[in-house]
Amino acid sequence: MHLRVMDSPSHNHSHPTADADAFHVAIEARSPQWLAACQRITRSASLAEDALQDGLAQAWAKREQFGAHASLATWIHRIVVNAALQLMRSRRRYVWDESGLELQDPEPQPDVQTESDHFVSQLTTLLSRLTQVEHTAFVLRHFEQWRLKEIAAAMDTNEGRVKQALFRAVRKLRASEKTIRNMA
Amino acid sequence: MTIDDNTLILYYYQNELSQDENKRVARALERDAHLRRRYDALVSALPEVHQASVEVPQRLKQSLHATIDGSVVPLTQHQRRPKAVRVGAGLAAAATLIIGLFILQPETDTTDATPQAAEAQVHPGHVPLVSTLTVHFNNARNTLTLLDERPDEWQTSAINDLLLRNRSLVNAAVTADAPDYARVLRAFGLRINRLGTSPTRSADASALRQQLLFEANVMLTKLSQLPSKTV
Repeated sequence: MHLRVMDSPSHNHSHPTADADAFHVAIEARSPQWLAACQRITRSASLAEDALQDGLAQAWAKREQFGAHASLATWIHRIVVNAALQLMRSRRRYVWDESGLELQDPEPQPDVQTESDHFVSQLTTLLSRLTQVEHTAFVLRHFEQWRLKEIAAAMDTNEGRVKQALFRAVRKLRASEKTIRNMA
Repeated sequence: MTIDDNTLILYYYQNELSQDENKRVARALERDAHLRRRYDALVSALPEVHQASVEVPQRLKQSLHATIDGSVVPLTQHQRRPKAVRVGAGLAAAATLIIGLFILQPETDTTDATPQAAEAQVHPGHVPLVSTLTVHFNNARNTLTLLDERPDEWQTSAINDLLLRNRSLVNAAVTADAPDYARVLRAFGLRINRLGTSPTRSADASALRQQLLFEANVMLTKLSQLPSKTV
């Protein structure tokens, strides 16, 4: 039940009711996947919620840019993932050294560390062993199925560095192969 | 062409090798059993890609719907909240109405400023938002001051309410193209959230409360300086 405090955009003639309805349907159907994607990227339950809220607000604000070439839920998913990346960038820039290797991550932010104790899945815990750059590159390529060049653009770097981060991530995951198998 | 593990990784992630490279790896995998085993071992080490989902808390789902409706969501339909909290919710609803009426600018990308209360920038165009934030941080300060004296149930309700109002204001700040405020509110919200999950009357809760009070005071001081700068 919503307490209306202003006219809903769905009542505005320039935005047909179907638009708002479609968003509501998408929220009901896909918000669990959106939240999971945000949690994978941010490694924090509360940051993920913030990213999801921001992403949805952004999607709603630019709903007129939505084209029929993709499903609304998929389109929102992409915006939500970008919002999560944006949130992570605002907290800490990705750090690379001159050779293109990522510099060692400092200790995780306290809230991230605390929340990771309660984190939803073993998989996330396992992925949390990756550095921020490896983690982002791997999650975007493996789970979100972004192309390497898209990831490079999102991380303000080049494709070669993303490749190296991805390779390192896979090597680390292989080292933990038994753990992953146990999770299956 | 040497087919090392890195090449196999790129082969696994489709469209990352050229067409020629792709064909060459595919042929080699058909012919070379040892390479095939290496590839299978590599792939089996990767987590399964599936449509993972997690449970979305009801308050979050309500808030997402509210983003579309431009509305403020009460904590729960049936939960009766303490009077002070209900007054706060009313103020927040009125404040959101003000934002809705005054702020209808398109959202733009945010910058990378550090989310600290002291760094929030005040812009003349944000005057309605500033009024709303002043109400919010005043209310937060009052609630935080009262928390320790009240029963646990009241605390939980008050914190949830504070969190919901904060979330609404994050969205309002984003819509108002006020990324600095959005970041301050987001950071504030993270700590409120943590306060809500900390055992009541614990040392952690007490420290968080003090930190939140400090941040609310910093914001109120900063917001109070607006008229002399912009009006």
